[in-house]
Amino acid sequence: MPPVTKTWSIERSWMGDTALLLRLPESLPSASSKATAVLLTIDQILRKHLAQVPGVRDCVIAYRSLAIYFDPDQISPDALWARVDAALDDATAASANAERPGAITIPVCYGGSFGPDLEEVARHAKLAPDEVVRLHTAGSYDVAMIGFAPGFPYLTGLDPRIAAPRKPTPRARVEAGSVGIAGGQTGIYSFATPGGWQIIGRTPLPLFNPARWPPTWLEPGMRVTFRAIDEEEYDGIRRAYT
Amino acid sequence: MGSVERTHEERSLAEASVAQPGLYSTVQDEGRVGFMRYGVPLGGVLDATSAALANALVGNAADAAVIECTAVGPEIDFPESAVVAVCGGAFALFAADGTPLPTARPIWLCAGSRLRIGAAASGYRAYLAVHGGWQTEKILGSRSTLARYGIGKPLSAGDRLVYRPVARNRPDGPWRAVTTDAYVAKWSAGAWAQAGDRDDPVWLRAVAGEQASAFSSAAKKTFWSAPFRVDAKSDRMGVRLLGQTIAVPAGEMTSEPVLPGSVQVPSSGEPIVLLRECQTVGGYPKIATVINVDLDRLAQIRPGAQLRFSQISFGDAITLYRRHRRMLRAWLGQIRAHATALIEA
Repeated sequence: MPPVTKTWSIERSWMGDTALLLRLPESLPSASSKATAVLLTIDQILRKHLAQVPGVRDCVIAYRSLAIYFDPDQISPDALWARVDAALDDATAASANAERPGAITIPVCYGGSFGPDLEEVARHAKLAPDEVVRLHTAGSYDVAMIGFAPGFPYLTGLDPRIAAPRKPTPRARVEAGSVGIAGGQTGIYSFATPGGWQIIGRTPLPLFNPARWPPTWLEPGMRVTFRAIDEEEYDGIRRAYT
Repeated sequence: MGSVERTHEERSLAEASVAQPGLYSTVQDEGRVGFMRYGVPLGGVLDATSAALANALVGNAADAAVIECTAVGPEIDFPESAVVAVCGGAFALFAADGTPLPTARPIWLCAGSRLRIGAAASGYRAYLAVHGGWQTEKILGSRSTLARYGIGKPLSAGDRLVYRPVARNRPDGPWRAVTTDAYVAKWSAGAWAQAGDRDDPVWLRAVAGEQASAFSSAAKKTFWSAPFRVDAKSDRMGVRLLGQTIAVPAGEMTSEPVLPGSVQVPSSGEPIVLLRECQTVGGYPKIATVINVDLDRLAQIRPGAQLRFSQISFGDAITLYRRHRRMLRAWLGQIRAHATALIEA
């Protein structure tokens, strides 16, 4: 299998003086499962190649780009560039797939006070609210990136029939655990913050717990499915985690 | 000789107590490395050079936890003897009886003394280091407060902070008594010790940002030539700039990783320079990135003060980074050795 870099020409640029940014070509649709898969392949290989390299501090993956943070005092930009070259040559889809992180099912109580925008999303989709829930729970999603707040997953794979624009006016407070839709993506608020996503339900799972290692259930590349639960089960799970 | 004295590790810990918290004081170290992929900001001290200097002056390694003070510092009681140092902006410093104490020098506080860090005459942040480091709980490998996400809180009155008292109550050697229970080392860290530019505007060096080419030439001209004013709404995440608006490129961009120093331009056209506690990804176009070396100076600019940007090449930024690190390493090593000898004399 040819290296992904032969299939997709990866654009490289320096970000400030302490990071290297790799970008997928524009030809690869953004926020797609394909883009996520290619990036994850690169991410896995880079982490394997760079884990023991002094001066490589961290690696952050986003929708169509990936940043490698480094200390130029410990590794020169040229040396890092060469290391990344070598890693990318090794980055075949097969080599990374084996190490793809696992899958998780997230319980969600849809609608009602937990999902105040379910009706609005249903109206936008011209579907019954139950049908929105059915399509949301039928999907299989990829964690494309984690950002905005610690443990906040951005998921690709949303059924286009239930895609919905952000709210025109963001809410001053979206509760932690809220499951939302924004355009063609779905995600979960890991903290109570202001936010403009359409909120269709809430999970009782705490998405970020700094006392745990790693601090989140989710990591980039993980497969996610949702399971509808009622309020009673929501309360039960919630109690188990507090 | 040393047989009667307990060693550093054997001595029991003491709890300093916060009498007044100051404007916004937090425990910080060099930040959380390795959790950015989970969306956890790097965080840590915003002026890393001043924090490392304060640590070196009390004999600590650069990664020991310090208290970051903002504009007005805290008032802290030390039930047991401690060696402390305050570096950063020109903050006023006082002993319990109101006697002024110097910044950027080791200060020996006898058991039962109080340290008050007042307001800054210049600069915006200062770092209070204690010999042995502040012993707060490490979370995800770091003692850095990340208040927004429930990791620690800013100091409040009555908080207790654990430290290791020094072995003796009073120093020997080249220390000068300034009050009955405070001594100052007859030696200072010298020229670099004072952070916070007196220049107005402060010039910050930056390299072109990831979306620089998407901005119009008029927008770029404004950005690189006009002065900006620091908004009071700035925080540890980012410095918000006022005074000029930069025309934003049309169209939405896909979220990308960001880093401390990234200069984002949201739809308002008023740039935000990210600081070390910034998020890990962002969806605003970035016109520039402040070089790593200048982030320390950026953290010392007060709300209302002015700053401007000057563009340098990536190669020059790397050269400056390495030179700064090399100088800092040599300089901190000497200071730490000297301070350790003074404390253990």
